[in-house]
Amino acid sequence: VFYRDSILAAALKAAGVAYLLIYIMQFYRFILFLTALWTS
Amino acid sequence: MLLHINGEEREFPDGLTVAALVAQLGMKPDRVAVELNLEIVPRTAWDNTTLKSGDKLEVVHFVGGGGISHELEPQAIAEPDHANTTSEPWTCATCSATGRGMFCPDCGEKRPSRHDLSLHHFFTHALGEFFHFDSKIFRTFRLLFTQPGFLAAEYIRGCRKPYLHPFQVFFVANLIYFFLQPIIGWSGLRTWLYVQMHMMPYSKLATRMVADRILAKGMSLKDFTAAFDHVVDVQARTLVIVMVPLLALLLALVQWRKRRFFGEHLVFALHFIAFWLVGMFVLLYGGSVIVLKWLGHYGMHFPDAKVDAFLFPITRASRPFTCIWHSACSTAIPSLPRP
Repeated sequence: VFYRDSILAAALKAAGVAYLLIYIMQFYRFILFLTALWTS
Repeated sequence: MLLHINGEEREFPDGLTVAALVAQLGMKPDRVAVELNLEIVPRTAWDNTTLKSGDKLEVVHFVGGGGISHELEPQAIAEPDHANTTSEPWTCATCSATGRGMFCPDCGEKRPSRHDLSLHHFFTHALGEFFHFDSKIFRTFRLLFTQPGFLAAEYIRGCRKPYLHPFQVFFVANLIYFFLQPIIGWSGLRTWLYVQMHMMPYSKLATRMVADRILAKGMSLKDFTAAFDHVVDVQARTLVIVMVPLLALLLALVQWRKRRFFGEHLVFALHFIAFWLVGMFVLLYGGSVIVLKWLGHYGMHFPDAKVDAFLFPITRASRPFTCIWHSACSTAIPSLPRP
């Protein structure tokens, strides 16, 4: 049970981090967009 | 038994260990690294590693001042009758130190031999230097892809001579990137105006902002697109370099509790971006267009896929970085709904 729980916890944590990563990447692209918009 | 040392075949007595071989070659053990059949043999394992016929060895001799030499001069060593190859002391022409082996114990200069100036030796030596330098690059890049994270861990552990310096790895990767990128025409770090206006979650906002900007500047959309994409192109070239400290900073934040030096994160970031740059072309040539389209369909960008490809094996290859293994699990991103 401990094994299964720890796997589940890790998977959830990983999914959370992954989801956050997508937001970060899109935020990063948006920043690039703003930079290019204001300098062109 | 027959051994291949630095690409040359040589005969040795059976049952020879690595330590015995190094001694037989007249090299100082603390200035030599040995690679046996493409694997580095740790110095602690030299006494227990017995060589067998057909083994392929790379013996690297470190030179004071940061240089590296593969010179073994097997022919000269194999000629015990030659006056210069006996264990008689000799004076180094470079630093005037006295030594007995094939190389100066202080600066690593090779013991002079009259054979050095023969035309055959001269060209063999020149080619050897070139290809051995190459082999160091290949070894480093092979490990970068086969054991991601290993190079960073090795660098931090202190084992640095057999590999390229992280900055060199980054430099070579950049060369590959800048030479191949225009040929392939892939718009790597570039998010063109069309993509910003049509394919991002914030595209509606972006379109409004672009419309305002066009009105303010009194330009046509076509002209503005050209100007915007030109800026994006310039931006992308800068980003390759800027991404290194940014990634290092991100890692430092993620691992702030571990109190690591920023340099450690920088080493990892350099290796990672190098992997990323070269991996881009490996993936492009790997016929993975369909996979990429599929990932793109789910809002997954090219870089993210490579992040996973690099991070996932790290969980096994490099203990110092296990804490970021969570990120590796983002291979599951495509199955998640888009934010």
